[in-house]
Amino acid sequence: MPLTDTRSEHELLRLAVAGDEEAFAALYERLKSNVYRFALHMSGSVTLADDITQDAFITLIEEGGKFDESRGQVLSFLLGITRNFVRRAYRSQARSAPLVTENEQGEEVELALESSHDTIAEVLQGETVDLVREAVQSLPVHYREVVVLCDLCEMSYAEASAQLDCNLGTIRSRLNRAHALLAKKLETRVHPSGKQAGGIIQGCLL
Amino acid sequence: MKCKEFDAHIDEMLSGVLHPDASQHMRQCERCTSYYRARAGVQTGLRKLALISVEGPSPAADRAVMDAYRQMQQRRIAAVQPQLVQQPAAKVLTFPGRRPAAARNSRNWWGGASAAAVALAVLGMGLHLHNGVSTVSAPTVASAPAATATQTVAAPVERTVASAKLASRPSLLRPMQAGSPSSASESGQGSAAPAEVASASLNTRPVEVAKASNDSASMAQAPANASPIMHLASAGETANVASQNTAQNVGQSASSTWPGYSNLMYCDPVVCSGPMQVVHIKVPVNQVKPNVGQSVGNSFVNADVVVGPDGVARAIRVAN
Repeated sequence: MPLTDTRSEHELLRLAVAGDEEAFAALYERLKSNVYRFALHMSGSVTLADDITQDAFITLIEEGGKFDESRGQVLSFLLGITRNFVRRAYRSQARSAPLVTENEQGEEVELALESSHDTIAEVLQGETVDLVREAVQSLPVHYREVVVLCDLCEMSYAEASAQLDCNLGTIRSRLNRAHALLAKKLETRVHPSGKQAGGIIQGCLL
Repeated sequence: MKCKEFDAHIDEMLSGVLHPDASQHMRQCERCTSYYRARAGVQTGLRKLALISVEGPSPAADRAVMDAYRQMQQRRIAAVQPQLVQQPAAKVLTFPGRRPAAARNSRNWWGGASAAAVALAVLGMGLHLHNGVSTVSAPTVASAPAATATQTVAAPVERTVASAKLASRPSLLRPMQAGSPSSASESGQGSAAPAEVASASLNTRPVEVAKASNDSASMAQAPANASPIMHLASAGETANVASQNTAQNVGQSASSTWPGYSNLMYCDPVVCSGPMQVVHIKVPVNQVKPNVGQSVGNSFVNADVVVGPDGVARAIRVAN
C-alpha cells in the first residue's frame, strides 16, 4: 500500500472489517511497528512479539465493530488488544514458571516472558541498552506498561492514561516509581557489591 | 533541602530545569548525587532503547497476518452464504397464491405442494375406504373436462396423487378464506368448474375444535380470523359432540377424534397430537354420496380436511 494513503485509520478499519484486503494491508503497514514495538518491549521475545502482533490484528478485525471513534484512536484500541494478549501470554507462562526468581546477586527479580536465545538482546545491541532492557523486563507489569508506553513508544502521559484506563496522576507516579526501580536495578548491576548505591538510593526513596 | 524534596525535583532536573537548591543539596549529599546519576543513566538508556530501530514483525509474520486475514474472510463468507440461501420453513399446506413468482418457484413451495399432494391422496383413499364406494375420484383440475372425473375410476389412487399434484399448482388454485362466501357450497359449475383446494385462514390464533360448534357449516362460516390450527379434543368432548353430529357429516363415527369430523386414519393422542390445519376442498357430490347418482350432475360439495403437521390427512367432514 502506498504511503500516500490519506484515508484515516478509522476508515481503513471499517473497510478492513467489511472485507477490503487492501485496506487491511494499509492499516497493518501503518500500525504494525507500534504494536510490534509494544509487544516486543513488554514480552522481551521476538517470537512472542510476532505472534502477539498477528493475534492483535486479527482480533482487531474481529472486534472492529466495537470500535468507537469518539473514545479514541484505532492505535489505542489496537494497543489495548495487544496489551491483553501480552498479559494473557504472561499468565500462561506464569502457570508453569515462578513469577520471580533470584538473580546472581541473590535478589528476587521478576521473570521476563522468555529468556531464550531469541530475546530482544539479540536484536538490540549495546551494553547499556541491554542493561536497561533487562531492567525494564524485570519490572512489574503495571510499571513496565507505563515505561514501554511513555518512554519506549513515546506516548504522552495523556495517551498512556487513556490506554491504561487510569488517571494522569497515576501514570506520573507509576512512571516515577518505575524509573526509581530501574535506577536501583541498574545501580545494582553496575556495582554488584551494592554497598553505596543501593543503600543510598533506597534511603533517598524512602 | 532534604532528600525527599530533592526527589520531588529530580524529574525536572533530568529534563534540564535548574534548581539551585537541589544542586547545592547534591554537592552535600552523596546518596542523592548517586541517585541522580542512576536516574540520568536510566533516562539515557531508555532514550537509546527507544531510538533503536525496531523494524517490526518479520516478513514471515507479515505473511501470516495477511493469510490469517484472508482465511478469516473466507470463513465469514462461508458462514454468511448458507444464511442467504436458507429460507424460513414454509408452513405446511399454505398455498402461496399471492406470493411472488420467485417465492412460488422456490424449493419450499414445491415441498408444500408435495405435502398437499400426499394429503389429498390420503384423503381420497380415506373417502374410498370409509364410504365403501368402489372408486372415489379425486378433486379434479379446473381445466379438466368432465370426463376426467370418470377416468379416474380406473386407477383411483394413482390418479388421485397426480390430480392433487396438478391441483397444487398455484395458477390453478384460488385461495379460499374460511367464512367467505366462496367457501360455501358451490354447485352447478359444470364440467369446467374448478376443483378448488385452498388452505384455511392463515391466522395463527389457535382454536380448540372441541369447543367450537359442530355444525357442519360452522367451519365454513367461521370468522375470517379463525385459526386453522386445531388441537386434539378430549375424549369426553369428542363423545358428546359426536353424538350431535348431523346426518350431513358423511361417515361420521362415534369415535371421531375431532367433533364433526370423520377420522381418516387411526388417531390417538400420540399420532394426532400437535397443531392441525384445516384444508377446504371441493368434492364431486356423486363421489361423496353415490346414491344420489346422476341427479346432481357435476355438483360439488365443500369438505374440510384436517391435515397434520406431517401433511397426512387425519379427518374429514363434508360441510354441506
